[in-house]
Amino acid sequence: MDESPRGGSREEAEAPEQPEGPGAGRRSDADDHWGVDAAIGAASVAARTAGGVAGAVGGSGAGRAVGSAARWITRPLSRQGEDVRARIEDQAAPAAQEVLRQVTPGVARAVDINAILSEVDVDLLLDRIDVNRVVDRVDVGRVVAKVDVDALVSRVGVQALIDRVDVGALIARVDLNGLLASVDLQALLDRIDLNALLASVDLQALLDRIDLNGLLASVDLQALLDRIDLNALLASVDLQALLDRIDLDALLASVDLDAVLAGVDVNAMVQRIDTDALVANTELGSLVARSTSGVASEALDALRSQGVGLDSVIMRVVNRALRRDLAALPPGPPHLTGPPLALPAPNLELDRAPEGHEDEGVAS
Amino acid sequence: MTATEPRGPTDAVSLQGHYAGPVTRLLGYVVDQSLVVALFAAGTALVVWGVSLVTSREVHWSVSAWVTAAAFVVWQFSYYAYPWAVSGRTPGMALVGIRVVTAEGDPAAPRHAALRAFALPLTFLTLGIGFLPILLGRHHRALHDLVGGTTVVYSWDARAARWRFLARQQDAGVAHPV
Repeated sequence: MDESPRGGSREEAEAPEQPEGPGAGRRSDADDHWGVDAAIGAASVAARTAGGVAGAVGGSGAGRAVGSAARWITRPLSRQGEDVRARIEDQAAPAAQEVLRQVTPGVARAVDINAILSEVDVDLLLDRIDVNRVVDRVDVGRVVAKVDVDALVSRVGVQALIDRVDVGALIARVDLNGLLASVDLQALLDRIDLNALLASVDLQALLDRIDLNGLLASVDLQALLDRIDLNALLASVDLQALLDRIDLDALLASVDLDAVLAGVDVNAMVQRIDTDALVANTELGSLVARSTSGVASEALDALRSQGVGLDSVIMRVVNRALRRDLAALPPGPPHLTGPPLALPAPNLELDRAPEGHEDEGVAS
Repeated sequence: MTATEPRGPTDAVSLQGHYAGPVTRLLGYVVDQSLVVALFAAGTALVVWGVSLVTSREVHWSVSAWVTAAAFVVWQFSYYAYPWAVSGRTPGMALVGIRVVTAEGDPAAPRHAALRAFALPLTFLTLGIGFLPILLGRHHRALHDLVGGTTVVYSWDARAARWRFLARQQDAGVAHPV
């Protein structure tokens, strides 16, 4: 019997009386079987003593001689005993099996498996198992080879599995920069036959699926243009070569000059011409002089200009005497003093004047 | 004609369409009235000569002064009203470069011309007071202008005069700052 402090029966026997727990049950069993335990103990002591004596006797030369003689004398008995043991093995095994078959259900019913398992210290049991050694002894390859992976996978609800996966968290845990940094993109692209790839793409169908208007509406063209160095772009253009390729005659033939001229404000353009400089510094002046020269016209111009000059002097005196604000005085009728001087006013005068009134463009 | 003071054809360019001043208008009126008298006299002389030619007798203008005055008034009315209605200017006004327009600057209609020609003698009947607004008024409108709803503005072809002036300067070899 194990008499270690963790052993149990003696300690439990000496322990103070406890109303409950497994220790109380064991002490009761020891009290009930003290006779059997004493007999087993005595037999054990006798066996160890006999073993020691037999060892001491058998190890000697006399002992070995006696042993050989005893085996020769008991050979018939041995043969008979062997036959009996063989018959027992042949006949007793079925009987024992029958007995066990009939007894086992009753024993199983009698045994409280839960109580037995509750007595087992599973942690202690597992601590005693060297899991690595167990795993090392397993031929994983053979185990896997016996698994029907297809059948196993077909039983897996992949969609439900994917639904349970937090893809966002999964991606967040991935260091994409590090991943991409480790990828040799050039080598990857070298392995791709882009021509073959693009040849297999139905670009028309792809474009049909794209809302180009919406796409362009979302593009900030101004920001895009701001990023373009137009000067550098134009500097790289061979304008001469570009112009050489243009059929200017055909281009001009396609231009509706009437429509272009209809959009030109000729009056505004004429107003930008310095007519005085044109007459004074070109042959046009000589032409005007030859066509209009004459004492009469010169005298008339002088007469009119002198009259206007005298008017101006008189009105300046009168306005000063009356203390008038010259800027506040109306220069002329409202329909004639809007636009500036000395140019025809087609929208005003020519449209309203009856025949005979448009002979001298009334300056307005 | 308010802030600008013209000194010649080049400066007068900027005054086109502005109210005409008293000197120019007086000059035009003098020319017109001279023409009215001269043409009336020539007309009566022509009538007398025609009658003498037809009757082979010496004929003298011996009709009543009232008839003569009435004929003169009618003639003067026609002389002024018709040109104003047609072109806005009489020969005298055309000579000095002015024309009659409405108070707003539109071409004068026959109605305006007739009223103005009818009111012109009335302005004289006020002993000249009816002309004072030409000098003192903000819009330089005389009594007959107020009656006819008209005014007088500069309207000679200053652009052509300007070019003629420059051309003459160029022809004479005078460098003119443009």
